[in-house]
Amino acid sequence: MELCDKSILMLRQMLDQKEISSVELTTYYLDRIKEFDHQIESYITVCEEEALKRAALADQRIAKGESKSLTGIPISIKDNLCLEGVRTTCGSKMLENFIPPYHATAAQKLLAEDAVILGKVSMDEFAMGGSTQTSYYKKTKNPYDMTRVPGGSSGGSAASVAAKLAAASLGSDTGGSIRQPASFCGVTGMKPTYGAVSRYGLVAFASSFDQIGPLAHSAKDCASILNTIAGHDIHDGTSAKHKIDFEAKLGNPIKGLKLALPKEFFGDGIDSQVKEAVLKAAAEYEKMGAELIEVSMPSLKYAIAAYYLIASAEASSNLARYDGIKFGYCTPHAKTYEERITRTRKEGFGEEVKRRILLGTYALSSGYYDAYYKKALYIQDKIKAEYRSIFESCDAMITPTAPTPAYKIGEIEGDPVKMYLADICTVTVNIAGLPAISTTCGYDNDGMPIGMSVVGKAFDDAAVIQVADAFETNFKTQNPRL
Amino acid sequence: MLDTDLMTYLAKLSKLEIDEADKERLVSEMSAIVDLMDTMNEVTFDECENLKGEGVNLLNLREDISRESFDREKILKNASHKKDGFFVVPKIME
Amino acid sequence: MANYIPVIGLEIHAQLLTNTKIFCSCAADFGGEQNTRCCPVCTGLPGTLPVLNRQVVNYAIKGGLALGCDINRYSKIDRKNYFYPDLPKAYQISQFDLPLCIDGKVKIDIGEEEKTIRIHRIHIEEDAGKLVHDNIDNASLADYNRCGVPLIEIVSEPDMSSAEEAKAYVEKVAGLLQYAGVSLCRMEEGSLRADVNISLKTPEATRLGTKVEIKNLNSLKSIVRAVEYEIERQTKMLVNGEEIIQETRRFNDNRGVTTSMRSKEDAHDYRYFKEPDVIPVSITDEDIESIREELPMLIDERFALYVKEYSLNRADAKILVASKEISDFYNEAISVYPNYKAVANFIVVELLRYVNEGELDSRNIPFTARAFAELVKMAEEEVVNKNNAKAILKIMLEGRMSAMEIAKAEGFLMNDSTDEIEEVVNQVTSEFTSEVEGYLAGKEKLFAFLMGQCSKRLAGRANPKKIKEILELKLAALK
Ligand SMILES: [Mg+2]
Ligand SMILES: [Zn+2]
Repeated sequence: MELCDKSILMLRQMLDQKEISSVELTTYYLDRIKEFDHQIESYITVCEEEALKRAALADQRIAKGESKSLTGIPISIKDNLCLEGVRTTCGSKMLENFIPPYHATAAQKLLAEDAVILGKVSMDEFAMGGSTQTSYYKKTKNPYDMTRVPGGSSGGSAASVAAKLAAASLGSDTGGSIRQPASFCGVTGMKPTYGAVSRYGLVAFASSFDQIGPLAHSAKDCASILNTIAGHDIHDGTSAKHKIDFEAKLGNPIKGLKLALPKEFFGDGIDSQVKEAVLKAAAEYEKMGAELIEVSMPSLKYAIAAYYLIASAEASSNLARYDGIKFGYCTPHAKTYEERITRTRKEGFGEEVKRRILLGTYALSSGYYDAYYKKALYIQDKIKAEYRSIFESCDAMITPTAPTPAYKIGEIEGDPVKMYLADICTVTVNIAGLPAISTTCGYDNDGMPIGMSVVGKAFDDAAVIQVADAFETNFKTQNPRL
Repeated sequence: MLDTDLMTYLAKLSKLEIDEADKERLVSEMSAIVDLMDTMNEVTFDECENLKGEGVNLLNLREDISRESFDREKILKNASHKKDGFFVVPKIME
Repeated sequence: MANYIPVIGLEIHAQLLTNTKIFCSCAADFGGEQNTRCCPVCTGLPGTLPVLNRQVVNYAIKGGLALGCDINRYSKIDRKNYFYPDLPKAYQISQFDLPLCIDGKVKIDIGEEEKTIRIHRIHIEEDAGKLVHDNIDNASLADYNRCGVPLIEIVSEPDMSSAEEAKAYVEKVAGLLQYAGVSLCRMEEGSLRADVNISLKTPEATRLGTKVEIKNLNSLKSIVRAVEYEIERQTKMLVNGEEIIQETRRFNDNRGVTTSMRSKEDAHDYRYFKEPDVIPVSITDEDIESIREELPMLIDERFALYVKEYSLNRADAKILVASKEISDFYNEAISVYPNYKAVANFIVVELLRYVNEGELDSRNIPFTARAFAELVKMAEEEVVNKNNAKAILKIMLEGRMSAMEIAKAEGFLMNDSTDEIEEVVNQVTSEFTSEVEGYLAGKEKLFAFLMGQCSKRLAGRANPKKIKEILELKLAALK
């Protein structure tokens, strides 16, 4: 087994037993980035110097026998997480020169354990997209097939883990932005319960859905990272007081668990190979002694509309602060305040971001609020209620992560409606604030990975990790050929 | 119906300059998106729980204890135009 | 000329007296060099989040209770979206449809009449920054120190009908918030600002006229002047058959006129929606009761107590309750020396003279109410005479000495023994023999002259009654 194929847990052992130093491990990853990232284009910024410095600190800490679970582990983070002193672009021209004066809480927690942050990875602009092709910087490729998208918006995170350019990555998930690229790139990605991880320092897209989470080689690695980054934070009023041990249920038997299969998630819009792979995985659970229960989520057909309205409404407000005054891009072509702001926004934002700002403004504007925004909240309620009723009788739910495996670059990104519809399998989880993990459950005829999602009750994140891990234990993954 | 007038209004509200030449295209893109949103039209409203429900208890709010503010240099660092410790904007008439 | 009735409503913004801003831990005090009371949160840096200050909610509820409001048990925080360079996030975090407090009432006195002004709602919100204009570079300069300073916005019903009522209302609201201890309400520092809505209607009209809003009035004087100007302007327009347009106006302090800022057509579409970063607050009955318990006795109750129980006249009682510091001072003084009228009188006539003349800050009286009570008692019991009591007060304002120490040092103490008086009386009667003779011959007016001479020599150390007694005895003996 190559060094880069090792899980965080294995690397931890090697580091603690001094089989390798963090500086060596970090150098190894930095070398891989140099060798492969010009193809993959996952990193916007590589923090070579800082990473090596941090690795040396980690080695000192390991030498003292004071290592924590991520000490010395090389990790990439999505470029919408603020790192003090490091350019944070959010994949946008708008933040080309933005250097935050503070750390995101999740990043701070990594640094507190002396985890090694290799750099900032690409993403769809302001996390709006499912392909990473709306990035102003690196339009990341899928390591399994360079002509295909890595998914998005955490495409840089997923690709950097799949191509082994980082041992793991932090991404963010607003409507599937961790799980869908994890699925496309054949890695494991988890969106924890809303409120489990502080959002402080995560550049906001849609505040009521945004969550930070890990992308890694396994559910176990995700659990380990979540145990580090989760927890109540005084800087985030929506962060939960709930203490979650993400590893608590690892290894618990699957026997006796009731797993829900919502029929609407296996309908016409879902690729037949995807359906087949997910149902086959479900059958594996049955073999392990789980009971499969068919359930229904009638409101799924309104989920895309509700999600895009709420998310865009919040985004239109969250992105109003980009006016060329306090930070970020400022147009050189302006004399008046009005010109300064409207041109800065015209020149600084990409097309998809503008569309969503306009949609969100529309949904909130006087005369349309009730028909759009308020109705979307109503549907949010219904979806929550439907999940509640499913989880009254089931322990977790199994769905495809995306309707298709990774598609070709340029295939649908130009068509916003098609792009939006592709989020159908992931958005309800964000709408309801639930934990969900995506893990690879098969490969299609072209060898592209297929993702399966496990969804759980709020704060029962340990259960989704348990269920995903049970499958992974007996599943053989295929590496991309670089 | 989304038309160029409404588009102009939305652009003004969200402070996005849109070239005349782009307006038609944008209207058609946005109309397709709005059609997708209009799938919700068949849903009829009851009470909206989302706007009520449980809030946070007073005890869980932040305590009123002050901490050192940031250095002004740090606060102004990312601004494109600054002067004498201020952010600078083109003159506001109002 | 037609007779129009003004219909006036006010929106008062009062800064809450918290240590920190509403959503971050920066200090909330007034002043500071530009952009030195800022952090990533209050300057709206990407990725930052607001965290609601508990004290803001407490104070808003407390202020609401002082203004007779009901408290919503579930209160939501919202965003109000608009672009302006003093608003770094391009939205103000405020409250829309579920404010903390609703349905209050405040009593005001207009001459001898009492009138109740209803309060529609009170909500919490963050203040914006400040812009200064730079004529050299033809630019505006933004200072964000004030961004995130906590405000309550108090929206009245349109229950006022004159500038005088508007003034009385603002004063009363400010007084009540000061009593509650939730705001300093200093207009000169901007911790109290008002917007006025005003329309005119004929007495027989059932519907309100078109209203005009005057923004950002920051002194009582400008509120009065703006309202008076606007009544006159609108009256003239109506008399001339012109139509009032719904608009926002600003008051020009120098010229004493209001000018148009924007009409209804370019009114903002604020796109209010639930603030997703701040969870709504649930307030329990126990929360409200424990906050209510912290409230001191308020203006109207104190006034009633002073008039009914202490038999003060209404004018004095009103003066005493106008400021909580003074009323508290009075209460403490009478707890030591329960001569209600004398203490009240000495405060109203003597102590407040220094306050009114700007020589004394009523929040910063350099002696205790107990020390003051001692002085009043000394005067009342004629340990010192009244004039000397005033002189003692003046010295007390300067130094740290007690009334008794000053009286001793200055020789103001009345002399209890009659020896000195007798000696002085003897001196005076032997010096002013012609006056004594005149008196004895029937010129009774001369008694006052002799009395004056004695008092002068005794320099207020003796009780005038005693002097009179002894002088009368002496003169009788000389007869
Ligand atoms: Mg307001
Ligand atoms: Zn601050």
